[in-house]
Amino acid sequence: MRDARLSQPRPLTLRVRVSIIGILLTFGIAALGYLASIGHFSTTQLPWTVAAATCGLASLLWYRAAGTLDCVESELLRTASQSRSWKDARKIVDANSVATAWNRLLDQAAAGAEPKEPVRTTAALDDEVITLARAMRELPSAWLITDGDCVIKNAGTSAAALFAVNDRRALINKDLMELIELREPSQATSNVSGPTANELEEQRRTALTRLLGSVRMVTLRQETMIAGRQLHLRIGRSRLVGRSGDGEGMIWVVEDITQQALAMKSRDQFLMTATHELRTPLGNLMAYAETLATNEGIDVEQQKEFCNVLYAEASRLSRLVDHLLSVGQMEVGSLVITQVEVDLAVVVSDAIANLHAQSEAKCHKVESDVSPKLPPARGDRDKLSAVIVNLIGNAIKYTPAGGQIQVRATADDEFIRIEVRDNGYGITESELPHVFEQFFRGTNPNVTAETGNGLGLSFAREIARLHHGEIDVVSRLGEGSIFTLRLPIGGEAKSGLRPI
Amino acid sequence: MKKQHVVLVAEDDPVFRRVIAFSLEASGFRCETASNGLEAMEILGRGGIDMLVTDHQMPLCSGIEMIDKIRQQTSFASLPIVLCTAKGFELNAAELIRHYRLLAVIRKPFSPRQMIGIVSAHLLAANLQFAPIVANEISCVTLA
Repeated sequence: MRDARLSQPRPLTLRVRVSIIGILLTFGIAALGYLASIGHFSTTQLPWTVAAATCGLASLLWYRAAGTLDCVESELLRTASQSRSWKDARKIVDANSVATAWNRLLDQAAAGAEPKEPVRTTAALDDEVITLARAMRELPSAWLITDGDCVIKNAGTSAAALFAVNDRRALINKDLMELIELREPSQATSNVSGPTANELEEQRRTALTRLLGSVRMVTLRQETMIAGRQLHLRIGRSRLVGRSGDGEGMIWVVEDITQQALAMKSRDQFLMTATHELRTPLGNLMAYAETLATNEGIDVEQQKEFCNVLYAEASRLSRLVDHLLSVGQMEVGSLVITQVEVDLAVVVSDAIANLHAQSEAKCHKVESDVSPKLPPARGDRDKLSAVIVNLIGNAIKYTPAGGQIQVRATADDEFIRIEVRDNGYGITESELPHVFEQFFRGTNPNVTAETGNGLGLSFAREIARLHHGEIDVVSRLGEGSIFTLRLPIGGEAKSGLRPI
Repeated sequence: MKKQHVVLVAEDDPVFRRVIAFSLEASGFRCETASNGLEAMEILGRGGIDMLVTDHQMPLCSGIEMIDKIRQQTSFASLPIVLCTAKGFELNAAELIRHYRLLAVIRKPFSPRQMIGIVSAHLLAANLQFAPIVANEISCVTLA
């Protein structure tokens, strides 16, 4: 509709239309005056002349005054057609205010429409492609695109980081197989000799064959050296298959799984050791039960002894399971530590009382020296109690009969210190750094003669640390050991008052 | 009179050592015990041991370390050895049996009866095998 109207011939401007009316009026009045003068009307000629003159003069004045507006109007009309834009409108050369206002209007419109920067004309699809390309470049996963011969054609920022180069463009036109040391016998394997080297070489060749093969998608794990670092990689590659004419090649995703591999290894180690530790008491239970069942004529004393062993081994198994559970919970960080005020003086005296039977059996002298104004600790009463029982229990266990065990509890401004000192077998200098490791047990025959699973101290230290404390040890072979549990003060000292 | 065979048991866990020794003695063998490889080698050095039953994982000197050392000595080249281990399948039993000429590798937990079965089968078979040389022994066995 708009187009149809614009295609019509240009209408006359207002000034022209008004001027035509003015001329027609002037001539009309003049004609009437003339007719009057020749006698058709009996009126004087003067008023007619005046009217005609006034009308003509008014038209002339209007024509003169509307000049500027006429220019504006004609510019608007001129630019209103489809092919022209308002930018084609011209300025008016005149001194009046309408012309000035019109010129200023054109200037302002032109300034507002001026583009800030060069416009890039993109179709809607291009926008999406650009976004995807940017996302790919910064993807937090190392990807590479190679041609059929593994020559890198494109790579993301993460790939640059993985291969230890500053710019991803530095990877372009390099051989990916060479970068991950699959092309040639790698440095890592050339240092090794013997059957392991052959195995690694075999592994490398298999990996290379699989990656270069025609299978569309391949995922494998490979250990390799990149920029002097031994890395565990998970390599996934997929062949780009498209319509005929599309470029062929391969897309790779390389993932550094060194940390996961290490974590898995330590978990496997833990499981293996745990299984071994579980088998020992289980084997004993089976052996003793079988011996009791199958041997006739075992005297009553021996039967009793064997039953005691059965009981002791079952308790050992149960303790071990408890410990394993705690250690497992600690590993995943789900061990819950309750937060209550704990009076360690009570915990220490209870622990000594609990272990009375064991210490008496070995004729130990157990002394305790607890500061009367010992402030309370804050934490888990049961777990702290287990730690202290463990420390005193160890002292009793690893001290020859008739030993001396001293338990001291003191406090300074920040910490409560519980010191368990014995004059037992002691720990060698080489074994001392390992005593808090899981499943570690000393090699001293006097130590191995005692039952133990090597989890107690690792548990104790972990519990101490969960309370923001620590356990330290000082020891000398043949002279004894001092284990010190340090816990932060968790409240005000109560003289004579016990926590509720 | 029947000669009593002497079996050396090397095992670090005192509880298990006790039950193995008891079972062997109940089956008519004489038993010596050691808590680690070094102690076991010392007892072997004194002589008079007919058979060795050893654990693998022991402090100071492991079972396999000990076997490796004693197999290098000619006097123990033919000593029958049974290796017990709590290790699972990571230990290549077939390879160990072949390499060290072991009688058997027993995986823990095992029943003492099973072990005594292996020990007595071997020691009795050994008696029969050596029969032509030690004549008085064979009469003992047939009598027994």
